[in-house]
Order: sequence, then structure tokens, then C-alpha cells
Amino acid sequence: MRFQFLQPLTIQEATALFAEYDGEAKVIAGGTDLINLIRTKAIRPPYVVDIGRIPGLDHVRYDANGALIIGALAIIRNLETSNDVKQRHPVIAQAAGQLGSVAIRNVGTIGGNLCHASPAADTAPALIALGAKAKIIGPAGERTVVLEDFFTGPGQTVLQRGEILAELYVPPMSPDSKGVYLKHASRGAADLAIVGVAAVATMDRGICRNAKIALGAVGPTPMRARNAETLLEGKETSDALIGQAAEAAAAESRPITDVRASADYRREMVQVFTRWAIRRVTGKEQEVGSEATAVL
Amino acid sequence: MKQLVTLRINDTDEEIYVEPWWTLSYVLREELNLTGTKEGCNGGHCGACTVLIDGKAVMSCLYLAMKAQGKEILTIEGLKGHNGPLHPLQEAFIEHFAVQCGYCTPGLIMTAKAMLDENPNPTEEEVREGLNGNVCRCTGYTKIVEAILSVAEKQKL
Amino acid sequence: MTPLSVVGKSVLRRDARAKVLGREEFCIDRKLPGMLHAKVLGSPYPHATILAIDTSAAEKLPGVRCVVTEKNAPQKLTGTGTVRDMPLLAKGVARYIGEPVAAVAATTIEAAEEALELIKVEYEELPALFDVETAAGTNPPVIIHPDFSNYRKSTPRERLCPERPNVCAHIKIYKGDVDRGFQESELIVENRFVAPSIQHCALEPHAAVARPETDGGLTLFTGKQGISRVKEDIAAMFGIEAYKIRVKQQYVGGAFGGKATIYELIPALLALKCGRPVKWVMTREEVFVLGGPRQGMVLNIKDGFKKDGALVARKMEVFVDGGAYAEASPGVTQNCSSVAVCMYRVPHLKWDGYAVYTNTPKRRGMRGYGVNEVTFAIESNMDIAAEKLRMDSVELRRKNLLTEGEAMLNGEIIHSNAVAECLDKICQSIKLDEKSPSEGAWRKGKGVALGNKYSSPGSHYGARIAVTDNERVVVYHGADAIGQGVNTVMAQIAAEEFGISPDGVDIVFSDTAITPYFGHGSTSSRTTFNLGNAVRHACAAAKREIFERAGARLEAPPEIMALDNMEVYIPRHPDKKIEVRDLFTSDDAGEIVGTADYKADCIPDDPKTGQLDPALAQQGKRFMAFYAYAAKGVEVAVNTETGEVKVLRCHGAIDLGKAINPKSCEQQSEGGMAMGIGSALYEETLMENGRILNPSFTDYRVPLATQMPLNENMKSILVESAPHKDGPFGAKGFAEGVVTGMEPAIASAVYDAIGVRIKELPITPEKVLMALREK
Repeated sequence: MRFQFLQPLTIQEATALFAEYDGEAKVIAGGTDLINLIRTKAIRPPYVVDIGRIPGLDHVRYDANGALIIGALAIIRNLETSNDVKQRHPVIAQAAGQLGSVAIRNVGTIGGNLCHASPAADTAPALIALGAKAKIIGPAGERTVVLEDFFTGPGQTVLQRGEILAELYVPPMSPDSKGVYLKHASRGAADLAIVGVAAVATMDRGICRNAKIALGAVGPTPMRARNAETLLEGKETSDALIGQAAEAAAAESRPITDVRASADYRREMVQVFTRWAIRRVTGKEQEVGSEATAVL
Repeated sequence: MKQLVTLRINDTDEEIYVEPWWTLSYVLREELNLTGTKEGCNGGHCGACTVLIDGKAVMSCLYLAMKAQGKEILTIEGLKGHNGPLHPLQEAFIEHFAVQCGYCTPGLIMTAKAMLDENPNPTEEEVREGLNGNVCRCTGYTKIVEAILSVAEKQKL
Repeated sequence: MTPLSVVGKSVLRRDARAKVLGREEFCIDRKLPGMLHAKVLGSPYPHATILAIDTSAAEKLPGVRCVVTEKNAPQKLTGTGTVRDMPLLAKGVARYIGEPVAAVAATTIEAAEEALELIKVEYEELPALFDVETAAGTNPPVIIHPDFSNYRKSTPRERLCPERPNVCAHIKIYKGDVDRGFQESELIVENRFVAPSIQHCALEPHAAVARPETDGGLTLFTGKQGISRVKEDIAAMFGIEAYKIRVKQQYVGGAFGGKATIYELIPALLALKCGRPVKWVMTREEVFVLGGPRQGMVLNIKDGFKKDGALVARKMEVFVDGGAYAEASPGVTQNCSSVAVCMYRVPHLKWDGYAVYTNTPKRRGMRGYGVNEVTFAIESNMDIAAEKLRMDSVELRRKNLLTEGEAMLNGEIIHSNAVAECLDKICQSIKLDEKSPSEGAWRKGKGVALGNKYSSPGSHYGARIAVTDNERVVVYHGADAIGQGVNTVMAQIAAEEFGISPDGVDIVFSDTAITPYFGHGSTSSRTTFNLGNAVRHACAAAKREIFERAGARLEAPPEIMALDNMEVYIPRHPDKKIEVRDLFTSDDAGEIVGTADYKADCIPDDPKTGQLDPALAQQGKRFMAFYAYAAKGVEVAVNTETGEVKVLRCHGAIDLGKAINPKSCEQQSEGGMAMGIGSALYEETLMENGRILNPSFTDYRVPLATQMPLNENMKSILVESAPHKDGPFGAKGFAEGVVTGMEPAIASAVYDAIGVRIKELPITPEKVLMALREK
């Protein structure tokens, strides 16, 4: 597990180090994913770059328009417990609270969770459904990528040599929109998601004006369920329509079979949890706990 | 290449040479002989290594020692009671028979302390959710939950 | 009978204080001066010839002090059970992925890890066999131990099975004539059940520190079950006189059967070779492979009933997957048959159990030693039969239960059996007849099941009591403190015997140089029964010496004396008394000591039929030291959309003879129910082509606090109506019995909720959903 440990104090220092060491350097933020990868010899980086000393990367703040600006080093637990986030983007706080245990959430960062790029990442579906954008800083400057396009494969992102994820921009939620993140896992938050579904919808007198549905753990990356969204938008949300949308989401998902679940079961669960999520955000189910949750 | 770091552990500054890849749990157990913090999986799943960093529960097996500089680290050895040598949680674990083999116990007590510091009056469901980072194979958790709730109850009075 | 003053009370556990302070030293915490760190290289192939091993590069690495392969090991085969089939390090052939091939000792763990990567091993892959039923055949495609007939075995010839080359033991329990029995039956219920390999998951990983001594011997610090056994094994393996081997431990961070495997030979070899102390700590991933996954079982059961529910015949064919080496598997295969033998009245029984080799990691008996798997099959089959018979499943059980004084199916006369009361109490407490309403997609159901757990006799167990001049009672014992509270309970027993508070008792334990022999270690739920008896007898011996000394001073015969609260008195002459401290004078200064050795007086069975000698059985001679019975009742909720099963309520009734420390018994009961929930719903060692796919806590899921019922829904009922005449204060032991019955109770509750019966554990959401579809 031997490596050299570097602790840059500015973003410029960090990106310069990455550029210099090419593929040989790994970023450490909280470390909850990286340490395990190194210990099990899944990766053997000669250099580990700790960006935790760089100031100005851990903010969770709202701008004047009500957009949420999250620094890449924002601690998951802070997203979960922030009163502002709970009030203005509750689905983000809810999703953050589903990531592992409190001890993991106390150290894990949003940037780490997204850059580790597990298809099952708990924070990704909700952010994607909210239309989040990722600000990337590199030797060539800054660029912004829609979060949905940030992931390119299991464990892979669009980050090029020398780039780091610096910040997330989440548009404001309108007052008549609702969001939910449902995670299906063997033992709840402690386990990796078998299926994760985030839905954000804006309702207007029974009509679904806007629906965004994002799925986790059922494809090589977190993904949008666009066919499901299209079925719902502009329509009155009847039980039948919601069922159809859920079927559509299942059909467009691309799950695999692994030690946690089979592809067939995952596909079936996409249908179940998408249905529940849509019912939740379109006002058909009022309280948390009637169908989906594990705690009776 | 070992580096000299100062780690503040249980209100004491410890100066030690550490390799960059050493985790906090390794340094506590092997270099500082604070073996109360246990090693169960080294993967952050079992919670036996739980310590408090700036008052928050952390898996010390996933925390690089070098990142722990400048933080207040509290281990089971640093836990003190208000009215005596035992912290109320330690007393409760004894009184309520929440200890069997004892290997998970320090990690559980630290997790419970952080939990009650943040949420002094949890429901039983909240306690159980809050323990989802701690594995116990002996007890079935029943008396552990009972012990934690009893401390919350006592603190209310 | 005088009322008890300490036994029967929930005395606080004396080990709890050190443990909550984090001051308790487990083996993994131990450090010795000059200690080296060991790492082990495992085979990457499930079956391969080892052509060559080149350790030269590893040996040259700075920090490395010693590298060993089988060339450096004694050329003897070892094993923890009845067959000596296992080399210390793989010899010429590797038989499972992970089998230790070489080991390194270095000054740092990093150097040891690097050294492993420098060891070059040339393998030639061989065909491998993974499926237990294929492996058990008469013409299997691979023979895993071609030299089996030459191995040293203590298996009786009648229990060998040469026509099945991969079977290392064939256990037969035959009674009556099952074919005739099935002809006479009016209903036949035949099913196949599967219980997979699961894992002990003791939280402290396996660890050992071996220190070579100047006399050529070894001191071993470990955390195990069976210090006397491992001492004998090391002595035998290395050809060292046993008195030169010392094995010590303090508290063990959980065991559950996994710590009875002998892994200390590797650090012992390194230590003896390089002359320095060597510590080996298994990583969690290694624990999943080398710390012993449990045997997996395939159970075929065929039951014949009369229309009124009376059992007529039972045929069971059980295949036990023991992995690449026999280890405990023959013992498990034999002992698990006790479930079929000790509970229900069946005139005709044919049990054939096969302990089978496969090219998978060698298996380790786990809490229950096969009993849980057999119970799952038998109890599930009873439920299936009840429905076909249109009988209440509880009534069906009641009708067929054996009672005190009846003969079991091997002839042993039942003594100490309160299973009927356990069943009644559980049905009442779980309110079996009341059905809870559904909640959304969650359907609720209830189920009960019975279980039993034998305790094997064999070997002997000692205790020594010393009474000091300041009136402390010191108990010396060699049992294993694995979390079960042995020291608290033994202190209570000694305190009761001397009429003092347990605070006046000290315990010295688990050191073969100081503490008495303790046979097979704390396994088979044996500690309370065997050690409790030994402690009582040793206390009696110490008291006899006290009375001898007092006799001279009080001028009275010892026979009329009594002792209470460290004062010798004579009931008939209240003015004649003397305090124990005053018995120590300059003439009589030595410690007062009493020793005892306890051996359960049991008889063997006939290896051809599993039957006891009828004449001896009629006299009350027993085969097992005792049987503890249990009933479990659960309420579950099943989600018809996701297939998830949640346990809402969990009640267990245990026939334990006498609760020496009731709260401590509750501890065991709750922990056992949790383990049963785990194996019923979540736990499985997933293997593919001999590789364990989930050797970590990420994908091997033990129950967390969120998987367990709320406190108000957990209940432990301690049934003391059937004390055991040979148990200390009537106590039996049930450290394993607390798990048994959980799996069939949950399966039964799932059936009650949604009408599907799952016959392959664990009852996963996928299986439930698939079964619902098929309905």
C-alpha cells in the first residue's frame, strides 16, 4: 500500500500535480472509497494527492436565485443535515442520508462519491433529476458539464488529465415541485443500492408539467429514464399512466447480474420503485412509509 | 518516507513518525498502543474502529493518519464520566448486559456517544438506524439499544 | 433443598468493565518484543499441481526474516477431526482457492506483503469439482484425495465409504424398516432442502502470536476454542514434548465454531524456523476463506404419516459439503443426525449422511454443527405434511413429540426434555392464532418451529479451586472466554458453593501451563455443564480439605461441618466455629486446593446402525451428554412487490434446565435469534468455480440493528421445568440451541403470509418474488 502523499494548498497546485503525474496520481477527498481500493490492491497509485487542504471547496450555500452551490469537498453529512437543504432541496438531503452509515457520511464528500462513479452512487440520481451541473477545473481552465453526462462508465468520468471536480450547481426547485430518492438495498442505507430511483416532478392541478426520473445501479452509469418522463409530461397522472411510465423506466434500464442481485430482479424493481417514486412526487402518496419503506 | 506529525488524541498531543499510507486505526493501535480501538474488517463496514474526530464518529480504518493532523481525536480510552471514571454509556452497557465478547463494544460506545451528542432524545428506530455502521455478532443488538435509550432517558431528567 | 443465593441471579458480568473501557486485551492486540509479522500466500486455483516454488527473491527482500513452504514443514498430515488429511502448507497439490502454499515473516507487514508478491509458484491446473452431489457419486469426474485410504483416521471402518471416492465419512442411523414403514403410510411427503455455506463472522479476526522458547518449545498466544487441543496438535505436528508447549489467551472476540479450526501451525512454523516471535492476523477477506466457511448441505427427506398424523417412517439422505479437507465435516455429519433422532417418535428411520470433499475452501463447523440445517428440513417438512393432512401444524408436532423416559430413535432414553412446554409457551406468546392485518404491500404471517441441540461428550474437563489465606476463592479453568460469560457463571457457582458473594471469587483462565485440561474447548454448548460440574466437584474437594483442617481446631469430625460465608460451623454445636482465614497458621500455611475432572459418562453407538446397546440404554446410559430443546415463534412481514421479508417479532423458548444467570442466558438467546435471522434471510457464501465471491462485509450481510425486531418484540422464555440430573444445579447448555429453529419458523411465517414455501436458504427477495410469480 505504499505511496507518496502530497497535500497541495491551492487548486492550481493540485491540477499541476495531476498533470505532472499523469495517470499515476489519485485524488483523496474523504478517503472512504480510495483507502479500500488501495488496501485491496484494486489500484496501486504511487502518488496520492490530498485536496482536503484546499480552501473554498466545501461550501453548501444558496445564491440569490435559490440555486444550490455545493463545493466538491462538501461533507455528505452536512448535505444531509443542513436546514437550508432540507427545506429547499429536500431530496438531496434525503439521498445524502441514504449513503452508508453516519461514520461514512461524516467523512465522505459529494465530490468523492461522484468521482468514484459507482453506478450505484446514492447522490447521483437526485442531482441528475434536479438538473445539476458539474464545474470542472483543469490546466486548460474551467468547464461545465451537465451531471448526467459526467459519468462515462463504471468508475469512469469525463475528467481529463489534470482536472478535478470543483463544484456542483443545482437549479432552484420551484415551490410546486417535489422530489424523492428511493433506495432499494438489502439492509437499507448500509448497503450498495440494488436499484436507486430519484424522481422530481412539478404538478399543476393534477397535470404533470415536468418530470425528471433518474436511475442508479441499473446501468453502467446513473441514467435518466427519458421514456418514462416523456409519458408523464403534460398529462394527468392516473394510476394507469404511472404504471406505464414505470414499465417504460424498467424497459430502458440496463441492469446486470452481480453478487447483489440478478438483472431480472433489478429490472422488476425499477418498475416497482419508479412507480412508487412517481406516486410520491405527483401527490398520490402523501406520507412516507405507506408502501416503500422498510421500517414498519 | 515517514513524516513527523502531531496528532491530538484524548486531549494529549502525540508526536510520531508515520508512513503516509498508515491509517489512523493503525497508528492508534500499533504506534500508540491505544488498542481499545479495534480492527474488524479494515473496510469501514463493521464499525469496530470507530473513533470521534472533532466530535463526529469516523471509521478510523479508512482515515489516513496524516489527514488527522489539527483535529481533536477521541478514542474509547479518552472517554470520561461526569461523576466517576465511567461514562454513562459505559455504565449502561454494563448494567444492561449489552456486552458479550466485547470486541464491538468500544466502537459501539463511541458511535452511541456521537449519536446522543447530536440527538439527545432519539426514538428506538433512530437509534437502530444510527447503529447501521456497527456490526455485532453476539448480542442481536437488543440490549445495546436498551442501554443507549436508557442513557438518553437519564439525561432527560 | 436450600434455596440458592447466587445461582439463578443475574449477576453483572465481570468482564464487562474492562471491555467497555477498551482495556481488554484480545489476541489481535498482543505485541511482543522482536515480533515479526506473517503473511500467507494462497493458491489461486481450486485444484492444481504445484510444480515449483521459488522463494529466493522473497527471501532477499529487506525486512524479510523467514519464508516457508511445505519443504520446511514437518511431513505430517493434520486435521481437527477424525481424518488426518491436511498438510501444514500445500504439498504437491493445492485443493482449494486460498489454500496456504507459502508463508513469510518480516519486520513490517508491508515487507511481508511485498515478499508474497515475489514468491513465484508454478502451477498446473487440474480439473476441479464443486458440486457436492456430483462429488459424492460413485464415479465422480475428479477424485480429490486419491490417497484417502492411507490417511490416519479414527473413523470406524463401517463409516467409511470406499465406493464413493470423495466421501470421507458415511453416517448411518438405521432403525426398523423404512420401506415397510412407507408401505404402511397413508401420506408420503418428500422434499429437498438446501442450506448453503454461511460464515461465522466473529468480529475479531483469527490471530495468533507464536514465541519460540529456549528449550525448543513454544508459547502460543491465541484466540480460539480449544487451547488444550491446539497444544496437543502443535506438539504432535512438530514432535515437541507437550509440556514444552504453552497456549494462553484471554478474551476471544467471538468464535461461533470458527475459532476451533487450527490455523496456528503456520505462525508456529515460522517462529520455530526463525527463532523470533511471529504474529499472524488474518485479514477479514482471509477469515472468510481460511477462518472456515460453514459446511453447506443438501437434504433429501421423505416422511411417511398415518392419516391421523402419526409419523411412521422417515428417510433422510444428507450431503454435507466439507470442502477440500475433512476438518470437522465428518463430526458435523454424524452429530447433526441427532436432530432426526431425539425429538419425534418415528418407528422406522433411515438416515444416510455423507461428508463430501469438493475443491472449495475447507469448512468449519458453525454454531449448531449441522443441527440448524437438519432442523430446517425436518420442521419444514412437518409443516408441509400438516397442510396435506389438514392438521394444525402445532398439533401435528404435539402428537409426535417424544417425552421424558421414552427411547429416542437410537435407543437413548430421554432425560430432561421440556420441548412441549417450549412449544406451548411460544404459541401463546406469539399469539399464533391471531393474524395481523396487511399494511400496503406488506403481508404478515406467523410461524413456529421446534429445535434441539445435543452436547457431545468425549474428553474430560478439569477445574481447580484454591482458597487463599485472605479468603479469596480462586477458580482455575481452561475453557474459552468467547463472550458467553463463562467467568461470571463459574464465579457464581463457586460463590454458591462457598456461601460468599461472587466478588470474593477470582478466575484464572485459559493458560495450559496453569489451568486444568479442557478437552475440546468451549464447543458443543459444553462449558456450563462440564466445567460447572468440575467446579462444583473441585469446590467440594476444597471444602473437604477445609473441614479436615478445621477438624483439628474444632476437635470435631469433618463430616458434621458446614461452610457459609467463609466460616466453618457445626450445625449441631453453634458455638463451635472458625473462620477460614484462621485455618492458615504457620504450621498449615499452604493454599487450600481442590481439584476435579469431569467426564460425561456416555456410551458409543454402533457404527453400522447408529443404535445404542439396548441393555445399556435401558439402564439410562446416554450417547450425548445432554439435549437442549427449543421453540421459536416469529412474525414476519413480506412485501409482495419487492419480495423483502422483515422479521417483526421474534420469540424463543429454551429448555435449558436451569438459568444460572438469567440475563446472561437472555444475551445468548437474543444473539442466537439474530444469527438465525441472518441465516434465514441474508447470509450465503457465494461461490463460483471454487472462488468465494463475497469475502467481505459489503456483500456478506450479517443482520444489523435495523434488521432486528424492536426491543418490545423480542422475547426470550427460559424454561426450567426439566432440569438435568447431571447438570450443575440442573443446568444444561444451549449456546447453540438458541439459533436452532429460527430458519424453519421464518420459512413457515413466510408461507403463512404469502402462501409460498422456500426450501433453499436464504429466503431472499428474489426467491420470494419468483415463487409468488409461479403461484
